Amino acid sequence: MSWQGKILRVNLSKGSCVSEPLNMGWAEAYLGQRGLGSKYLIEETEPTIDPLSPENRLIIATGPLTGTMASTGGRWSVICKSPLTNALACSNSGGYFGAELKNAGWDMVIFEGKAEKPVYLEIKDNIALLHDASAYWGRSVWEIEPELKQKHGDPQARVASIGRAGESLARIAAVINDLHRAAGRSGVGAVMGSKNLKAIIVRGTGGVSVKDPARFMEAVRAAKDKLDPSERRFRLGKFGTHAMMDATNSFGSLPTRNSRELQFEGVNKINAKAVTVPRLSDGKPNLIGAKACFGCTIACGRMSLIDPTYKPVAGEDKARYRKGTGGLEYENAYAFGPMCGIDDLDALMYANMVCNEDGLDTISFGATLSAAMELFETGAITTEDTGGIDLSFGNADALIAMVELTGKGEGFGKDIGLGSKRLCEKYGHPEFSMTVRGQEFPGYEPRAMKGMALAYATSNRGACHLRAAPFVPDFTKVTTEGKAEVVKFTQDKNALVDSSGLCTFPGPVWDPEDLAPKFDAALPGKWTAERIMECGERIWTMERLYNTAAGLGPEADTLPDRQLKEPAGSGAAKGQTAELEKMLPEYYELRGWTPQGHPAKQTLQRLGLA
Amino acid sequence: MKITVEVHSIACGTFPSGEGTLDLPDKTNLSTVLKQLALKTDPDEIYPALVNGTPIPPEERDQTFLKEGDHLVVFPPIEGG
Repeated sequence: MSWQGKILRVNLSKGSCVSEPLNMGWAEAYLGQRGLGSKYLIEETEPTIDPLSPENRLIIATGPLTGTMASTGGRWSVICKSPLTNALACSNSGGYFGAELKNAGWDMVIFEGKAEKPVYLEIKDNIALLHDASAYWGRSVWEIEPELKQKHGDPQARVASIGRAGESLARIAAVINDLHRAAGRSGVGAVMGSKNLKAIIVRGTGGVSVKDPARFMEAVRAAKDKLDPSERRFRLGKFGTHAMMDATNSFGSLPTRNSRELQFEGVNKINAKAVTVPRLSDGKPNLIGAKACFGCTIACGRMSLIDPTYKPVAGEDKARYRKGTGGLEYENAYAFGPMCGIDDLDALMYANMVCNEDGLDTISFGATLSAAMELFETGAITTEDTGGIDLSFGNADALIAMVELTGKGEGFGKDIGLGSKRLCEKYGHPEFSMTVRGQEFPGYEPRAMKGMALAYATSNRGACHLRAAPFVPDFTKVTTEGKAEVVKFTQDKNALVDSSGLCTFPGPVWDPEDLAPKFDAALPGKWTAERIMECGERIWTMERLYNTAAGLGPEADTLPDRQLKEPAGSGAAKGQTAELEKMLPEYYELRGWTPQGHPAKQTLQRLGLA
Repeated sequence: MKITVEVHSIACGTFPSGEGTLDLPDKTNLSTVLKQLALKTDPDEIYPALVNGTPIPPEERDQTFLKEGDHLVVFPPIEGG
């Protein structure tokens, strides 16, 4: 079977690393990654704990298909209680780290307690050791990852670590792996920092077994045969996610200047086309190629090279920025660009590199900066607060200065590190915070995309574009009709995919019937489309119960007043608000929840959650 | 009549650059125009089409007639990332 059947439990307070058997009953009900990691967190902690206290867990979880031959089988997750939202956090990443951990023989690593001084964890197959990390503390991801590999004499080892943002407990800090991949959302990097855990280096040589190898490869081949010739795969490989910017801008759902506007006049300077245009300085475009995660046959990742004459990267001490780097992807381009009113491509590239280097979530950083810009514009904060930095919308120099300060946890960067909700509350304007459950908006405006309005409002980790996938119905017609059903189905499907080890990007090309044969050939027992979808629904409902107990239940199923009360000024939804109230009752009913938004007893019994 | 066309992130046989002007007979409907663009899409894909910024769902495309000066935008059934 493709579960390894083993968990590594690391007690940082005691300095112990202990192997324990995976709870197979839970694995069969919650699969792995997001579902299984959350189940362990929920069973081991109270929902009301302080997320930055030693009581919180930091769970690094793979899925049953992570590290197998399944296409896109490189996904892994970080699970904890979020210091940004106080809700359940599950941040998903790709790259090669997850597959390496699985190959080392572990389904999950659970960190508990807090180390007395900075440490890092070394895993080499079944050996796990904690080491002193004082030589690495205070330094960036980009510095320490190669040094750790060199120290352990293994260039094939994989590293996940935090930068200075996580160390300084920025509530928007990420865990970065393979230099350019991020478990970005919900502040999971701050939880790692709160435990004095700097990094995990892992090398695995054991492989991953499946129940029926021949049938598994047949299922993998069938799924690839469907994915490979699809235009969806071709487009993601050719344009990356960055292609979304022209779609949202044309449609009028591109959040601009802290969501006050829905279209950005500077989009042609920073879109997917702009990164392919040769620049004046050296005749080369920013985009240099595509990059795939472990086992992926899509390769949506972008690799780029910033203009070497760009001033912030000039000088010998900045040589690291003049190398190929990950990005731009749509979400970071949106957050640094339109959301902050900035159309300087190199500034966006630079900000993205610093976020990776210092371990910041690009969406939350950009969206929090845009809230700060609105606070600045209205005079709620001044240059006295910002240390002299002019935070006007459109100021690329402000983006550069603030990403550096936030990455290091210095100056006004400490306030940006609070995230948009706490920042806006601190300066007396909570209405400027474009958040749900305290998490910043990704690049889709809910007034124009009604399904996304419902998806944001009901997302268990706060505003998120990956917890549901109503994109195509939203772009096809501006209406609330039918959106509750799409959101419910894709929430359950993405919950199962996020718990499997696979990526959500094959999207509708792989329906549950395409996914089930891989589970069936890899795991003990019989796995059907219905069974895996029920796992997804169970995971979603379990997350809901946790959040309700944490004080973030139905009352948090809402959007900022800007989306609920201020009509869109342009685009396909001109004159409209998000109309959330039209969709929520149907959504609750479809879920088998009460009209008040609580899972009904019969629903809990059906899912084995009563 | 003439209309302007923008095609984003889909290979377009008629306008390889993704942009251009079409000269159409009067009373040409949207379905006909979309076929004329020779878009490279999967057979079952529903790709969004906006006329003057308004999305026209597939079931309304036969009955949507273009007029002089209209602006058509087409992009793929793209999902987030």
